[in-house]
Amino acid sequence: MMSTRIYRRQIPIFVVSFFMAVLLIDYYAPKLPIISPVSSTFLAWGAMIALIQLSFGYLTLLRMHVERASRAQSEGFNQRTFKTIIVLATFVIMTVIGIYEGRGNAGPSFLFWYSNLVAMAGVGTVLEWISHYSSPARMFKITSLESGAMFLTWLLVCFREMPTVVVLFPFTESIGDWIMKTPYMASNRGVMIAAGIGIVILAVRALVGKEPGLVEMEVTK
Amino acid sequence: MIGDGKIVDFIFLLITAIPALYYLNQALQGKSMNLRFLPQLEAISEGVDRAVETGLPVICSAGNIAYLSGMYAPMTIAGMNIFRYTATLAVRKGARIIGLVPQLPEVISLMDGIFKEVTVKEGKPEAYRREDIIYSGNNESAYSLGSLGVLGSEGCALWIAVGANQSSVSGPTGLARMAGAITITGTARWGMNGTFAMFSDYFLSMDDVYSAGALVSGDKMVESTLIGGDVAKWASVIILVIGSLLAVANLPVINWLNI
Repeated sequence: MMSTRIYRRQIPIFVVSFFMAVLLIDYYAPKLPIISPVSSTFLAWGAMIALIQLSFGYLTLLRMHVERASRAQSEGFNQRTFKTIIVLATFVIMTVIGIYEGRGNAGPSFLFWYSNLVAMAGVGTVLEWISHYSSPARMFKITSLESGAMFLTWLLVCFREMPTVVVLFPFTESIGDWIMKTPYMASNRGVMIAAGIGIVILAVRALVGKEPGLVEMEVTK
Repeated sequence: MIGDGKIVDFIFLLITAIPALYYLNQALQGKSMNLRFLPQLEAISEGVDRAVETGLPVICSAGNIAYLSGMYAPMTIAGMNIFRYTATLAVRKGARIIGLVPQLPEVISLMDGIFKEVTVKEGKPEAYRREDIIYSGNNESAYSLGSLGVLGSEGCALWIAVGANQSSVSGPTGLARMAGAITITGTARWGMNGTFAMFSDYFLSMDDVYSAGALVSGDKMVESTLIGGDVAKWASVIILVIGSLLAVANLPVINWLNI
């Protein structure tokens, strides 16, 4: 009998490695006549698999809420049951409006955006602004050489953005420009290179089956 | 054979991939390599202990835009590594963990599967609660609102958001900090690094996000690939220094790199 590890892990990794090899050849050697159509077909398959994964995600979500709703009678009504009723009711309302409209999704989109964004604006105004001010306030506490350097950098770049300061002290603009064009740009490029290397390393690990972020065990419930 | 403008690109790929494979092979042959554990990861364990003491949950997200393809996919995998590690510690120590699903519904089943797998692996399948994998909707504001709602209603001892984060994660992170939670975030999105460094008690910057995934695995073979990454970084530094010197000497270095 075939081990679950072989069909759940090794075979998919082999298939993905093969697809990756074709896509890499297509990227580095685009003039090979056979590779390009095969590569395009693989990318189309990828889009289809993503769509299936999307549907699976929504089904998992619906299943969870239907299960919770069915338990409400035995477990009693609580805050989570209320949320489940909202989710299921919204699902039904949006589906009915969508079917009634026939084509397009103007109705559901209107309802979604104008309920969601208004709520976000309300909550964001109260909560997010407080946290956005209070969290960076830590930047102003000079507790070490590093935090001192960070504060000074922030202050000098801030001066560059203040017209009155620049008019009164023109050299502040040059200092701010130098910070943005030299140390900022250098660190930007350095970390981008490091992150790029990190991505390749992670891809190598995944392709040899040594990336732990994937579901490995077979669990049923 | 190789297309125009892609030769140097291909050489860089080899410089990165070959050392990673070499050190992986070394580890397979039993040669051990000791790497330091990041303080951000040690803080996860402290935070889980705090959750056990206070009775408040651990809330873990994998970034709000955890795409499974494209440039954000590696961050999604790294975020899932952190989620798996955190869930393992939480289940082992008896803390409740809530997984905030990114605004991409295709990740629901992945996070749900990891949570289920961890509980079985730790011998506590009863710790699995499907309703603790929470999805709030498929846009930034829905994710942010849902996260704020969970924080407000459940409380939080440890807040983790490692992955492809946008500004919609910063609000909940700030609220978690204001609520007294230990906040650990990380992203390889350069534009968001400054923001999250300000908002978090512990921050994983850029490729730290990818390294963290390897370190939490506890697998020497996985960790060995990080040393391969260092070889590529040293090669980049050498090329940058030599390239800068040649550019100062008015040689067409940029043209050579575009071969």
